[in-house]
Amino acid sequence: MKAPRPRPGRPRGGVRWIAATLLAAAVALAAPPADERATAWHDLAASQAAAALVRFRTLESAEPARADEARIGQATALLLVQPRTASNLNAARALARRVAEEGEIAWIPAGRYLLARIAEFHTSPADYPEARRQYRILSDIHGATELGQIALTKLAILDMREPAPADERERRYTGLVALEVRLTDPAARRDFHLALADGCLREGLGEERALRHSLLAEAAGIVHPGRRASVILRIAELSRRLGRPEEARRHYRRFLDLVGDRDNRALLVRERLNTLGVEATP
Amino acid sequence: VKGRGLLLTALVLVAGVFAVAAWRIAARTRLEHAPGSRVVRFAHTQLEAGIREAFAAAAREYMALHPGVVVEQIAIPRRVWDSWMRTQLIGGTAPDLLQLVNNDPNPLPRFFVPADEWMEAPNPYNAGTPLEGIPWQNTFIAPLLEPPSYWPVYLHYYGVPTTLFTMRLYYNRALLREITGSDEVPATFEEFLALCERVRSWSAGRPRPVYAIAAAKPVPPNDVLIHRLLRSMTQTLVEPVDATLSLSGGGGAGGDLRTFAREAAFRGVWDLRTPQIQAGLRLVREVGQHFQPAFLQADRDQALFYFLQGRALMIMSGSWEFGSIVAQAPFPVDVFRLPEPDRRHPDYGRFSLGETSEANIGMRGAFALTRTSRHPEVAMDFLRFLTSQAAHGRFAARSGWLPVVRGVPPPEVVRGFAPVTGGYPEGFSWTVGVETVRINENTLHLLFGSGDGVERFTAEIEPQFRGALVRDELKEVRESVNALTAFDARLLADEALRRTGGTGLFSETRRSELLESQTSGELGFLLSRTLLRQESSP
Repeated sequence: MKAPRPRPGRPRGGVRWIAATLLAAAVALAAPPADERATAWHDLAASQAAAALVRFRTLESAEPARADEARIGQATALLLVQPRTASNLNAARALARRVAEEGEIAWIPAGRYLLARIAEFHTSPADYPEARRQYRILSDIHGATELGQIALTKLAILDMREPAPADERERRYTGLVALEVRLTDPAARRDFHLALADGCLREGLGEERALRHSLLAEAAGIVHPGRRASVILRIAELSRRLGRPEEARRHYRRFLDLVGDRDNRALLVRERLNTLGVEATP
Repeated sequence: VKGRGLLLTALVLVAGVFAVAAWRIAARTRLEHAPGSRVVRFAHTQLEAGIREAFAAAAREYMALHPGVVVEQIAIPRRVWDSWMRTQLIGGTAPDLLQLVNNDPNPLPRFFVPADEWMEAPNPYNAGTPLEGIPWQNTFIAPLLEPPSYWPVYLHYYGVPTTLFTMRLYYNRALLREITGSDEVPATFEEFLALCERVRSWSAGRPRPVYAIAAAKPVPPNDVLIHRLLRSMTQTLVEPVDATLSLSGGGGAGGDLRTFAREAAFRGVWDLRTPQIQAGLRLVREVGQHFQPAFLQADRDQALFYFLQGRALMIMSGSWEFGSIVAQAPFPVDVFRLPEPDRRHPDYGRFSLGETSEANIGMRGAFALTRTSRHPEVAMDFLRFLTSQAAHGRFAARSGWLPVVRGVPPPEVVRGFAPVTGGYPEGFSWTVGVETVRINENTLHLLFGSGDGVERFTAEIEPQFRGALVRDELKEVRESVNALTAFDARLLADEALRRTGGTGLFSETRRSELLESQTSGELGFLLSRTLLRQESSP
């Protein structure tokens, strides 16, 4: 007995089953495994930009719900890939802009952040006004997010470092000080004050101000012991120069307690302490 | 018949050599593939006498404690190390542990495993010692804050250090006694120069002249002596160049004096005519008069040969070479620290603060775990053993290397290398980057030449100086962009991984440190850019 010929356009049950299986397999193959996302980010963190880029591109098409995350990953990878090219830079900017302007709310800060970084560090010549604009939007609209807090620090660094006439520098400084109340994250607060302290010292904005910002930065918590030691020493030096020997002594001692003999400045600091002791004796 | 006999002999010889080679390879393979054995290999570039033996002894001790484990060392000459290491890493055939020789950050994240997890746990081999229960990272003589151990740029520990390297003047004790009638070494710069003069007068008229100091062309890494002298004269410039008011920064994350000095040169705080820089050049020229003739054409091996032949009384070298030099020298060898002019010196004293401190010298001889290691736990366990109090003491005694583990005293023979932790911050050399180093190398012959060498040298360098400074700063800027972008990548990766409930890349503290390092790098980068812009504006 001959098997009935299947009618065109209506596959037999077995064929349908095979087709469904193949389709399911294809979808399974196309959809990245659960840890593919994590692998892509880990690649990026390990500076394996080319590998990360491929993974993020796959993720963008395979998981539309997470396309914005994949776009941020791609944009970051494009900035890292060597050699750096104009087309990679333009592609990174376009991806970041798409997320910043049309993306889901969770990824908009990352898009803004990347746009600022591209303008500040990757564009030649640097587009500081655009970087400043993006940081402002980020801190004004997304100020409660971590990147929104970081944006305040980046604004401080940029305003302190970009050359400007003395009156403009003073105006910028005053504007930055007004932002202090918005710093809720300790790390951002620390870095904000580190930037301001550095700016005050280098740009002649005053040692009193430099001391205040150094104290605030240190109070917010400096993590690296070497950096902490240098900031404590700066506080001591500024206190001494500003005629506050008691404060100076206290911070010189804190420095010595922190570094012991394992710092080439220890002897110099002990001499400073001795001199202060003599000066303090009537 | 004679020809056939020769041919037969040659064939037998070749066959014999082949058989021996085959047996050795087979024996090695058998060792590696013994059932159940776990083979761990570590590679280094310390071919100096005694070092391989000390590592081998440590490996034997470890294997005796751990049957079934085989620890092998691979010693690679320094000249081929970089290419060899790159080939091994890219080919996926790298040994389990590799020495981090030149503090190059680039291969670390891709090819090496962070050691954080092990570093945070106590070293079990310290059981029963005062270091019992203390996290491994805190069992070293100083906190591990900088490369090659801790890498602030990655926020990870990678290298486990095994020693400290210091530089000293090696001297021929027998020759010193013959020349001076005493074993006394100079304690001050004046005494040092007097000794050099004494050598000159003693040598005059002898058939084979003897010189005070054997030197190679003072280019990196053979330029330590002249840079010590140059830096001793800029100690009083440290405060004026350090805009951060941190008394030179202390190095690493605390602040880098060379960076401060470069910035200060742009701002006109110092230049080649600054009295401290001129004093340094005069000092180098004065000491250079006691080097052997034509030292500017000599390489390191030739200079060492001079010393080993007894044709020079002293040579500057590092603690890592002590075993080799002692083994090769047919005379007793000892070391002393180069005395620098202090505040009492009638000419140079006004530029000096005093003896330079070595408190910030970084640890060396560090090994890192490769990603391709088949037995990472065993490899790291071997390093824990090597840096445990008891085993490290034996290793230091055998190798003649300075120990880096708390409570392990330096062996008597290398006491002279122990870092001087008193003293003042070192100054800086006027060569503040690769371009300034290059013009220095090309012009040094004038400094040591006839006439007013200091003036001829200064006049030749002066017109090139700012251009070289700009190129050095540009190099910093180029490298910084990549570093800052990598910081951003890690920042965003950490956030993305945490956002979806996964494990982030860093703990809260490390993430905070990431931001702190980024801020520091960014301030430096934008400062460089500003300086370059100001330099190029009319």
